[in-house]
Amino acid sequence: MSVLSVSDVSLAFGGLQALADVSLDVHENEIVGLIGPNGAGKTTLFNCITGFETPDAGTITIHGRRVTGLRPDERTRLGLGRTFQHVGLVRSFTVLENLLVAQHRGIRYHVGSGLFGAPSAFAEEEVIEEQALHVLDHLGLAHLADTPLSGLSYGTLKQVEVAAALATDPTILMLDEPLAGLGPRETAEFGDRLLAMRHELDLTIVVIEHHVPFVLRVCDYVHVLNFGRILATGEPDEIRGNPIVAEAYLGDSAAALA
Amino acid sequence: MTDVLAEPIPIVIHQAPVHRRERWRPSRAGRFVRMAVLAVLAGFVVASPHLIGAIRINVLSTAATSVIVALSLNILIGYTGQVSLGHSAFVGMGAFTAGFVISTLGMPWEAALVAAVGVGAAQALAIGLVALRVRGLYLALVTLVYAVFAERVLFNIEAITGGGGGIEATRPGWATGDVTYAYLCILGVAAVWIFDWRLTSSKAGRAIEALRDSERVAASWGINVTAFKLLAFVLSGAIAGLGGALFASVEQLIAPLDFAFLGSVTFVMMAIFGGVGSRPGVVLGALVFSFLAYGLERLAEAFPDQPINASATPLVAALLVLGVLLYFPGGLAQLLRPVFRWLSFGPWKSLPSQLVGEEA
Repeated sequence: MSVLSVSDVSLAFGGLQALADVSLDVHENEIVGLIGPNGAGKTTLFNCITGFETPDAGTITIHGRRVTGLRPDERTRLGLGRTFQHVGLVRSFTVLENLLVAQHRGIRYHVGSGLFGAPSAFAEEEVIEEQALHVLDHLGLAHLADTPLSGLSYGTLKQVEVAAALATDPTILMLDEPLAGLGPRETAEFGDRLLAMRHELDLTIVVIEHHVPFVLRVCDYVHVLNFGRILATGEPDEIRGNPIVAEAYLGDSAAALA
Repeated sequence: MTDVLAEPIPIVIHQAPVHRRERWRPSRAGRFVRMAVLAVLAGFVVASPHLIGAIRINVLSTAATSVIVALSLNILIGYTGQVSLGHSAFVGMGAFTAGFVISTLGMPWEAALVAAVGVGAAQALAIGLVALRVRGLYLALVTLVYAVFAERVLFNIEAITGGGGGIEATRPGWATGDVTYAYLCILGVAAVWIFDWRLTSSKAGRAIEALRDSERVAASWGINVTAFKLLAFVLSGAIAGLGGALFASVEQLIAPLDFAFLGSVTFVMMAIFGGVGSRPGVVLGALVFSFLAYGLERLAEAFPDQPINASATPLVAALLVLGVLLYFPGGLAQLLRPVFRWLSFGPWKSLPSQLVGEEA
């Protein structure tokens, strides 16, 4: 069953057709890659799915539910977790504090119970902190828990952002360029983690990434976008051999990969 | 690049053996010293109504209400990052509500307090609805207009506020004395302090602070941006209303002039001078401003032959703000950060490991 379905979504910014009749289906436990040149509409598609942009036409369903008209936070409640192209974290918080806020939707105690210091709120706060450390540990970041963000490199921040998205307890995790700022070794490690996490945490993952070898390695399915249209869709091997893709996106290096 | 592709990847989760760095804890002696210092501070606060002297005790009560208002403003400036220049009106609404309930309706002081908190929250909700549409400088202007409107129009509706002559707001029967009432105001500060602490360390406060940095990120974490922004305004208004009700019964008579819109600027100065976002900083800022005139008066008494005059208060205030902000943009909170950290059972110096950390 497809957990995320986009059908015929179009969106224009003024005269620019950012998305034109984009359709794609993501099935449970798949890792799906979105690749394409800058300005191809990848992030715009993410924004349409997560509710930050409203498509001019088309429908999006999450777990079979049409999400037209739902706010971003409501879509998060449906199990959508995402990261942003530029680091989406609370700059003035420590790593741990960011993960505490990210768990917002999972916190059961009432806002009032927190404000008036109900014992249940204190108890749950401890659980939330444990969970935050657990998620950080999953990404090998637990030792940074009490570090302010200002002391971290861009690559580490992107990883903390992934941890925060995971802390929202998503069923569908959408990552926008998670590898930015990472070296080759960390890139490989992150790929391992992603592959392991989807089973351990029962995740469906959609990832935008420019690092084509990474995408071809971890993804079950790849969609290539160009000028707001889906140019090609297929398994990594098909994409690697697709001459149209090579021409539009991979350029000369395609020969080496194919 | 290609080496990543070369080998099939074993599916192994990297269970990092690293665990969270141990939190810094003071030694037993350190804990004892801190507790002793805190006890002395608490003792000073408790003794303050007796230390200040009978003539000026209302300065203390007024200062306590200012602290409450500054803390309420801090929720907006410090936590949501929105400047309100309407807090003189927020406070005035609370004060006149209290006066109306006590004098016109003849109801007890406790009822007036509850009503003031409610009306304070309701007006802030209305301003909050505006804040959903405009922000930053524009919101500051909108709130300023509200402050002027309240001062010139709302607070001059004779049937409710008694017009220019003002309205009485007698104290509760069990706290008619100046000293007792000062304690009541200090109790109010303590209550607001605890409430603010609970706010910042529970999910509501975290959500509010998150949307100060980025509403998009907050929304992506499932935070209802609209609801929590409004909540911040409602809490700020409710606390300002509480401050207003307590203020009303300090002199037991309030008039529209007590809530001139320029008072808003003073509240903002208190918060910025103290350090927005920092609870102890804002409290200190409010205290410094509240006791400035008193301090100058005492100095003038002590040195009669020196050219010291309490009428120089605004000038001294301006110089203080300039001086502190020039060197410490974070206000007193930045200047006193080691002290605050030490008093909250942390180390005097910030731990270098917390800043490096990354490669550890």
